[in-house]
Amino acid sequence: MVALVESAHDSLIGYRDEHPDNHWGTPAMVVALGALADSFYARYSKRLEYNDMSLQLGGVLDLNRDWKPPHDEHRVGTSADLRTFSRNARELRFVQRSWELRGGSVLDETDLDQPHYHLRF
Amino acid sequence: MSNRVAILVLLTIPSPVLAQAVPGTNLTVDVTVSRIAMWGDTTSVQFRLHNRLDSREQLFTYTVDAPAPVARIPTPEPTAAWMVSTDYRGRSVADWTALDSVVPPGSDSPDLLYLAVGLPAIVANWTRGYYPPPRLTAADTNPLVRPADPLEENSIKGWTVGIGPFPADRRPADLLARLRMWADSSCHIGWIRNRRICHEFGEKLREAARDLVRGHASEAAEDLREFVRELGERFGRGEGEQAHEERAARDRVREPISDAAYWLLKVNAEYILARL
Repeated sequence: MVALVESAHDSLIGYRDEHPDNHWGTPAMVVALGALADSFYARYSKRLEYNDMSLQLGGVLDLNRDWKPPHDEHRVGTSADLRTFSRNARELRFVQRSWELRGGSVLDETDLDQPHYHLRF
Repeated sequence: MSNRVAILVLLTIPSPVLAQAVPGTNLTVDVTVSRIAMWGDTTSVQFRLHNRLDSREQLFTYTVDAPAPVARIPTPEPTAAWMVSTDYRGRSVADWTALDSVVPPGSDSPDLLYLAVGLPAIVANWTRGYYPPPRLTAADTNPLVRPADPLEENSIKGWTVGIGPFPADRRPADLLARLRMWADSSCHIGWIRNRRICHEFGEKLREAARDLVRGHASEAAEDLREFVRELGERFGRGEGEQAHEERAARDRVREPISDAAYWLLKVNAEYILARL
């Protein structure tokens, strides 16, 4: 896997003690996330915030310190969480469609304590 | 008494609850090809979409296959409510996405326009209604699943007129053979519903092809001019632009030649005429 490096168009968030380095993905995933952030910034002049992706060598991302789901999909570098609470409806639709056009799909987890979209690729 | 209550309860349940189809496909959209024009080698195609009143979803995306890569696709007004794209997962398309509820049931889209180098051709199109992203569930996450493909799984596929690349050979005889293929396809798809008209158009174009083989270019040109004239008359262009638009909107089902067939055949025929 390769690291997603923070740019002027995105922020990497969600570091925690047990997994201080959780923004790794497949090369295609990392390229697609960068392109999504670039297109979003070009339109809205705002940065996207990416939370958990995968660990450098993959495997369970132990969100709740119990080695159980959620976060099953965050094992192989093809998922990322995108913070949504500061986004309006038009911006969210833009993210949804832009991600679809690049080959991914968006799943909703906006009803959680930390509302986010789960980006699958 | 209890029967009456039960009936009343049933009557108050909205019909979408009773018959919910695949998300994204709960709408009926009429796609009108409102204009096609050529400048040199560049063609522009303009669509207008009507989301019918009985649809249960607002329009979200409209996608047109683009075998000739899109040269330009202006963002419709209001620009803040639309996004456009020319690529769907590596596939060349013209794609419009409504970022807002700008085309709810019972309303029309603004003009959706794109340009490419090539000639009008029959291409696939897809319309899709809006639905919010599905909830991530435990079942989604283990085992891993591939991303959904909304073009295949959550859209309604149809046919329309887009822009195809120029054929390798642009001699009039080859272009005419292509035009005859489009005329046949228009009848086959149902864009021209009247068999007699299909037969007459077929005869007219065969005559033009025979004249070309004989080397009688001016006769072939006259055949084609007559074809274009008849096409216009059958479509109703002789009655004036506005009167035609109003009648077409009223009388869409009974139109013997659809807007798609009219523009497809007219522009291709005129391109040949310019080369004779």
